[in-house]
Formats: sequence, C-alpha cells, structure tokens
Amino acid sequence: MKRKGFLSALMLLLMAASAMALPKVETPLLATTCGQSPGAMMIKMSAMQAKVAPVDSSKTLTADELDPAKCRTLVVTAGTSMKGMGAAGTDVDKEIARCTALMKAAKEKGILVIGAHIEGMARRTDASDEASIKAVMPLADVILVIEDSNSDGFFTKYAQELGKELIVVKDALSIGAKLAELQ
Amino acid sequence: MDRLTRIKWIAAVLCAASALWAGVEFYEMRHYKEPVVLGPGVTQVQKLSAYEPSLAGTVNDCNVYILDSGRPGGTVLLIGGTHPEEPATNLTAQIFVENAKPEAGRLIVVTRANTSGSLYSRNGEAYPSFYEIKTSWGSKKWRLGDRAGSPLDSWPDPEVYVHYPSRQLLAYMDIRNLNRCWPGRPNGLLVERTTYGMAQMIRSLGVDVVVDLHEAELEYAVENTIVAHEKAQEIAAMASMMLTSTEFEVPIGMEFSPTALHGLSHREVGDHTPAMSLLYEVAEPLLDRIRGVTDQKLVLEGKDDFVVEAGKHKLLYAPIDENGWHIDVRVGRHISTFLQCLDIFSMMNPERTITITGVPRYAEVKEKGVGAFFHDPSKAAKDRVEYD
Repeated sequence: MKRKGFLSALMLLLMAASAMALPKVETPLLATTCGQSPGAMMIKMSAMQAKVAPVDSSKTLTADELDPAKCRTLVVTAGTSMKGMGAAGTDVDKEIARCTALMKAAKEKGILVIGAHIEGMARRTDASDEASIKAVMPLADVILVIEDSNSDGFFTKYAQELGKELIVVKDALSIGAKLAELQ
Repeated sequence: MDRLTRIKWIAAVLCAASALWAGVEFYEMRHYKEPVVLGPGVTQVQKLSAYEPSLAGTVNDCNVYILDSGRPGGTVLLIGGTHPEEPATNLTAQIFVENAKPEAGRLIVVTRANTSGSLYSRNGEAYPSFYEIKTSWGSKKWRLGDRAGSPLDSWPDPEVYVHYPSRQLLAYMDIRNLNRCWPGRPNGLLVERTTYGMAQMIRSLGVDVVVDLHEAELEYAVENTIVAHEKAQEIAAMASMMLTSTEFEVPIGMEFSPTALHGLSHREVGDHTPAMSLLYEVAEPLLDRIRGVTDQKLVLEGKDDFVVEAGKHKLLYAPIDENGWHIDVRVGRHISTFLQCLDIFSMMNPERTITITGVPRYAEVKEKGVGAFFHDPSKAAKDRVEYD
C-alpha cells in the first residue's frame, strides 16, 4: 500500500516536472522557415484553426525586423524546399545565416524560440534538409516535431543530445492545439 | 535468285510486316474514341474552340463539361489529361463528369486537356497504347499517350522554345507540353493555343479556382504534394494538413509555386487570370527511369521491383513497398484533395461556396476500385454519351 502511494506520488512529481519544463507560449506568434518550405504557413494555419492569435508567417523575416512587441514566440521550421529556395533566389546557406541570426536576436530579446520539423520525412531527404535541421535545433528553447518527422527516432536522440525538451504531436494539424495548450 | 537478293527480299518483307504491325497499332490509338457517360450533374458540353476559334477542327478542340448547380456560388475548373501518360488525372476528371452533382456553384471539367498527346505513344519507352479497367458491366479502355502533344499535330518544333510572354528559354519539345505553355497565345502553335483557349474560358466564365491534376515519378522531389500559387497557399496548407491527418496513409505535402519558373499552370493561371491555381501530384512508378517492364499492369497497379529497390537505397522522394501505387490509390487521393480544397475555399469564401456531392472519397475508391465509378455507355441514352 505504502509502495503504491509512493509510486503515485513519484509519477505526479514527474508529470509536474515535465509540465514545468515545457515553455509557455505567448502571442503574438510568428513563424518562419529555414529553407523556404511551407512549414511556417502550416504553423500559421494550424494555429489559426486552434484560435491561437495573433499569428503570422513570413518567408523572409530577419533579425533586424524582429520586434518583441510584435512577436513573443518565434517558430522556425527546418526542412528545405528546392522549389521554394529557387523561387526566392536563395539557398540553404543564406537561409541558415538568416535564421540563426534571427534566433539569436530572438533570444537576446527574451522571445521564446521553438525549433520545429513539421513536414515529415519528405523534408528529411537530402543534405540541405539535414543542414537546416542542424542549424535550427541547437538554437531553439524547445523542439517541436510531428510523429512522421520522428518516425526513425532521430529527433528523440537529437533532442537528448542537445539537452532540449522535445514535443511530439501527431501531425501538423495537431500543432495548433498543442500551442493553445501551452499558452 | 542469288543469296543476296533472297536476303534483301526477306529483310524487305520483315520491314514491311513490322511497319504494318506498328501502323495498325498507331492507327488504332490515333482513332480510338473514349466514351464518357454524362452524369446527373452535367448541364452542358461545350468545345474549347468556343473560347479560341482556331482550335476548331483540331484534335485539341476538347470537350468542356459544365456541371451547374443552378444555385449561386463559385466556379471551379478541374483539368485532367495535361500529361496523358499520367492516367490518374483523366480518370479522376472523368469520375467527376460521370458522377458529380453540384449543390452550389459550378464545376467545369476538362478530361483530355492535351488530346494530341493521348493519340500517340512515347518514342523508345515501350509504353502500352491502351489500358483497360474492369467494371461491373465489362472492361473500359483508355489511351495511355505521351507527356507532350504529337508532332503530327504540332510541327515543326523550334530550336529553342521561347515561352510567351516571359521570354524564358525552355527545351524545344516543351512547346508541345501543355504544362509549359500557360498562359498561351492565340497565334502560337497548337498547345499554346490550347492553353490560351482555357485561359480565355477561365476569364469569361469567372472561374475562381483552377486545379491541374498530375502524377510524378518517385525519383522527382515534387511528389505527393499540392503546388500552390500565392492566391491559394492558405487553402493548400490547410488541405494538406487535414488530408494527412484524416485520410491519407502517406502524407500529402505542399509547395509554393516558384515565381520565376514559367509556363506552368500553378504560376501562370494565377498570374494571368483572376483565378487561383493549384496543381496536385501523386506518385506514379510508370514514370520512373529505373522501372522494369512497362506494361498495363505497371500503369494500373504501380508495382515495380526496380523502383522498390531504389527506395531501399533511399533514392526516392516517396515511399513504395510491394503494394506499389495502385490506380485506385492515386485517383482516390486526387478526388479527396480536390474536394478538401473546395471545402476550405468555400469556408474562406462563403459567398462563393462550391458544394459537390455524388463523388467518392479516397477510402471508398480504394475499397471499391475506380471501375465502380464508370457507367456503361451502351446503357446510357445516346445524347448522354460524349467522346474524348
């Protein structure tokens, strides 16, 4: 009996500790993408669906444009689109430079930074995808991924290596609900 | 007769026999008409030449099926057969013609956008000329075709294709590729005039949304996705998330339409007409360079050991296993993606609502097979059957 009580108390403690480790998401929320994929647009639409507001996305947001009055949470999605980068006249190196500067500026300004991978294994196919993931995640306060992106357990191991909290949601549509829950 | 003369005669007879055999196949493909049973929603069938008169009398004067609910709402154009070697596209479009019932707004369908390309086969690729799908009333046959229009209908190709109006330089044969010829021009070659006719139709009928259906090889990075013009990005993002979450085992992604890549529907329709444009891709192993035997089985079942092997070596952008990418899966994905985009468009533009019923979604197509949704032309009234 005593042992059951002890285990229950331990579980509650662990759950509380886990909840405490998760950040509080404040709005306005801004999303951008390191690699010109539609990830940021998906974050925006999913958040809007869950009534997280105000929320917006930008493909080109820079450190200079970051205003803490207009952004309390910054989500940077990793995973690249060759079509998107070609269209924007950029490449993965320029995108990494833009996003790492942006994330560093956000941290200096006290903005919560979420590193995300939300477009599944389709955005984990080549060296550009890998480069964007490895540029974004170390600078994030917390990592947010969907189950498909982590289907091989990569992000579980990587988050552990980086000592970051990892949030895994079922799919991109579930992101909004998770953000709402963390508000 | 000496030995050399005998050899010459044998060679001549063999060549003549081969030419005759090929000629018969060629003739059959060129002249086979695909029956389309007009479903309960079809209120009118027009010819594309109504919008670009120079198409009259050409093979690309395709049917334009109009399904008008008679109730206020928006208008959507669904394009199948842009690349005839992508059969899920014309089959999807035809399922809408034979089954859809619009409850609000208007649906316009083109099943054979580049008919010319469906009348001949790709040189050197050993494609089958036709494919047949089983139905409860017998087997139904379609032409497979090539990616681009036939040189018989559009000749000669230029040394370099200068796209109008961007002046971007493209490969010479792309002047026959319907998805490199948007927005077209009235004094161009056949396929440019075809897209011009469709662009004129979009303008004159006040089309809100244009959807161009495609299939792609698994070696191609833009796979199982919705490519969206700026005007349609929010719809595409929402649709891809909802379909991935609720319907598809293999996720459907989204890509932005590149602004500097010209001639494609997802770019030019959005730029040159008031409509928003979307293009859907689904995996088709038939198109992979590394495929093995190219037969009707591969067209319909999408199974190929070589492509599966490439997947094991991480050389593909879409998953594939021994189940392949069956035509039921490919058509079902296109239908659900189209209906989902319409739902989201209607939610975001309630005054332009488009509601379509009578069409199966992905799970039902997978369960019953595409053949369950085509109707017997011999049982339909003569004035309710058209030919593509």
